[in-house]
Amino acid sequence: MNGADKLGHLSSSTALDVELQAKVSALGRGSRHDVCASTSSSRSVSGFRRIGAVSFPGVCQAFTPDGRCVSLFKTLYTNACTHSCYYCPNGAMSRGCGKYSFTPEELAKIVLKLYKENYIEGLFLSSGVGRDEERTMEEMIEAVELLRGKYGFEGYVHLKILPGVGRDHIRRAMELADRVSINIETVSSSTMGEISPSKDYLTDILRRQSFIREEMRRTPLPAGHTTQMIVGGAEERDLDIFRRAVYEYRKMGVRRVYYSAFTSIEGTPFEGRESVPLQREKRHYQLDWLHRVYGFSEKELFCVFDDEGYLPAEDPKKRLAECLLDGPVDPNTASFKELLTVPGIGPVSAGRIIRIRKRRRIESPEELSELGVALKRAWPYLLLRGWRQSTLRWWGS
Amino acid sequence: MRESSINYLKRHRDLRQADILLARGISEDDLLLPENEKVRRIRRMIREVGTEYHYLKSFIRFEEPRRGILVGYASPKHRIKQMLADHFAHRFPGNLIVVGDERSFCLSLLSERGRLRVEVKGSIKVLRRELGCGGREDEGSVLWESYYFSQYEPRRRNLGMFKRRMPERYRREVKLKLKSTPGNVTLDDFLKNKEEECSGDKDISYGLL
Repeated sequence: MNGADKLGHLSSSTALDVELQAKVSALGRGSRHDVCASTSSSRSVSGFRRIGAVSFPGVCQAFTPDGRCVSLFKTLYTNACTHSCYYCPNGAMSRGCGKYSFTPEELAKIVLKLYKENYIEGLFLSSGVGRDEERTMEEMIEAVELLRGKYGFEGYVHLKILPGVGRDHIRRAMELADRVSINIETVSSSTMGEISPSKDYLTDILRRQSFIREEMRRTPLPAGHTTQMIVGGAEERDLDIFRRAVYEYRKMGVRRVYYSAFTSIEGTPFEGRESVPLQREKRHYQLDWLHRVYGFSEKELFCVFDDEGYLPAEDPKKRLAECLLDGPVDPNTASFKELLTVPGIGPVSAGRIIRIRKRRRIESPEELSELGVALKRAWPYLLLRGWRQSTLRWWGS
Repeated sequence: MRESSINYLKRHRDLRQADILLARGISEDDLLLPENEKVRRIRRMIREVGTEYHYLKSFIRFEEPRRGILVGYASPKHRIKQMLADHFAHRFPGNLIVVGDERSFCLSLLSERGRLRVEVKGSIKVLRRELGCGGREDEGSVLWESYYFSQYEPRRRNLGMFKRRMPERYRREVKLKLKSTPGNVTLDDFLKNKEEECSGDKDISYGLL
């Protein structure tokens, strides 16, 4: 009997139960600040006794009205939590939030139902720590074991590692999931004390990340491990956040660092604080992209910060171009790195420029546009057929 | 040119035999900067089919009226119903996948005993009725709506992005349709109501069909 045969339907009375809807809603709402929507995994699937497969990157079953991709059933296992994170609506010091928890079987059946009807591409499972992080982690793992074992589910699974859990649980989570992650939330022990005094930054977070990195030698994760930071949760500077992100990439081997602008939530100890502008979060993503995808070094990127260690209000790449370019760039002769430095040119369009110019010269801005260059941003930095826009102040007359 | 590009091209609704002959004689690099209108047309056609296939793989929704049969409505402009059915047959081996619209539907089954692929002229609505679709449909969609709105953060509202990423013509496949009630005249009105509902721990009443 294959997984599909064993699945059956959720009974009508269960699926349409108002309490279940409220639970799905509350636990979904508790996880909405967790950002990762990636479903790309290198795991290959085969055989006939299974439900699902991992798929191509970039799939989004829906978008929320804020334009964000909804590809995973992103939920908490429970929103009960003994930690006292001042920013979190699920924290022990927050008020007014009904407490809910799934059972492993219930969660597994919901995931299968939504997956088979193609509402989701997989599961992103996070959680409050409940009364005890070890017990809650066990139940989260049990839910994924049910999916993988009993139901033969081969879709994408991203499993959060709860702060402070034992190494055995981390190892088991890594055997089951495509991706695991633990949120470092902030940049240091002292800033962690400002936002979440019950968590030990070094022991509960960084040591768990080290376990993941070490375990990856034996249990390679198909989609790697990731982390997330709150931008502006404590009084950290943008430069501190960037340095921590670089450390995470270099030393911890994370695949991605995600950023979430601090949002003041009613009922939390931080409800009176001002939310951090989303623009600041965006700047961190742009900077992260320049480092991780474009390959600019930490040293090269220092120049985009102001004297006090904050990012400018404009696209950091504009500042980077001012720092690194001596003059306008000729797309017919520039190196790949020089092309990448130009705002509006990314790795894909730079690669296309290199490919096409082996065959013929690029003659017009329209051709650059066809190759994927964002011309409005790039044009002031380019030199084409001897013509350049000369309004940029740092290139002189 | 890559076979996958040729395959997309073959499924374009405006395909002419000359397009295939031309495509076989050019490379992927020729598509980067087309030197004439004919090559530009080839590039456009490949992109249109690729985009539609990409969207519908994500946006199609299935019902399971009987165990092992998954039925999904999709009305693509191009001839990609069979590709869609095959994609999901690979994802759900042992399940008969049916994808189509009022004009035709395609079946695909991948199992240990082999592969089945059939195109049928006729309306999927009739098939759905015969299979008894619709009864349990709400289980998944009600759960989905509970979840979907839990993910919406009013502070990040960006309707321009939403509309760009979820083009209106696919909303039927996604089952994302505004209820035409006097209170929900536009998407903005609808979302404004949602913001109020989502702002606390209040019970959420569902405004989507």
